[in-house]
Amino acid sequence: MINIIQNTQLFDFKDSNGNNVMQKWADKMPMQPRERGRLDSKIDLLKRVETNLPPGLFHPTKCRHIMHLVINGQVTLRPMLCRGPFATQGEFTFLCGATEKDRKYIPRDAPERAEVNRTDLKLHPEKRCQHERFNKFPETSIQ
Amino acid sequence: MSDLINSLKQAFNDKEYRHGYVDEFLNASIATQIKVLREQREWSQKELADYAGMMQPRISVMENVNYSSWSIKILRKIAEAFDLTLCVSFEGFGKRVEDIDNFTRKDLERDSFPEDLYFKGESEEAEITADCEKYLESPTEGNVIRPDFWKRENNVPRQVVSPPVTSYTGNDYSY
Repeated sequence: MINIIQNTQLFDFKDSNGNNVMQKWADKMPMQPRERGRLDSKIDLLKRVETNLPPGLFHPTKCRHIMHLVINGQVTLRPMLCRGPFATQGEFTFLCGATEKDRKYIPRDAPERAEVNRTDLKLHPEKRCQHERFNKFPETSIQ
Repeated sequence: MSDLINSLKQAFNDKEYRHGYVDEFLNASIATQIKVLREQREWSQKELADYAGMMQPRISVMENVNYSSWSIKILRKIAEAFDLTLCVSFEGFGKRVEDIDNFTRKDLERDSFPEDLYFKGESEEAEITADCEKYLESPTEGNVIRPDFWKRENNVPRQVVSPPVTSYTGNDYSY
């Protein structure tokens, strides 16, 4: 049964330079506003349904602890994340960004990179911050 | 006002962003509502499929939050299976932000026609009114409508509480 709650904590991994890897990924692509909207929408859903997740919200990867969100559209976004890793319930951490093309991740080793970041985070708990929304565009225009 | 609403109010100034956000929300909310309605009725996917004249795998696909190929025809079938009516309307983004902020299981649940309080309530009200009129015409102690009077005055469900028949005098209730 789907339980809809509102107290899930979301975090983003920070690299050695202290940069939020998810924001860096979005800016580097660069991710268009429509994709940013789709991504924020799915993440807001995740924030509300931590237990007994609705079908299809996550997809497992070949790395045991790593899952990705499914965001379809012109660009198929596959942000990699894990539960916790410090609390087993009510906590998710985004570890790296990825897209998918022809059933292959870009970057190809995205799940492995996420696993490396997860291991790094477990050793250095300070390497994460509260999740930042993707609604900050370089040029916001009211249309 | 919630943080989410504040954030969306700001971000929705961008047309592409707001359409992307709402597209994704709409897909997820329809899929989630089908699952919530099915669970509210304690049906399996197979039972819903039988009532809707579909195959079970189709229901499974539609309950997936990533499904996006909705058709009015299929949604009508699902609505009829749940004994509900499908509501399709064009809305402004303000209405949608409210839906997003109120996205809870309770908000997605709907009663089938037999449990629909609108109709159930109306027929009970009509029944009580008729009983009242009958009682006022002939206010005798043996009148069968007294329990309804008591329940209505005390604002309790008819099925739950029994009236204090022994202490009833016929003068305690005024309309």
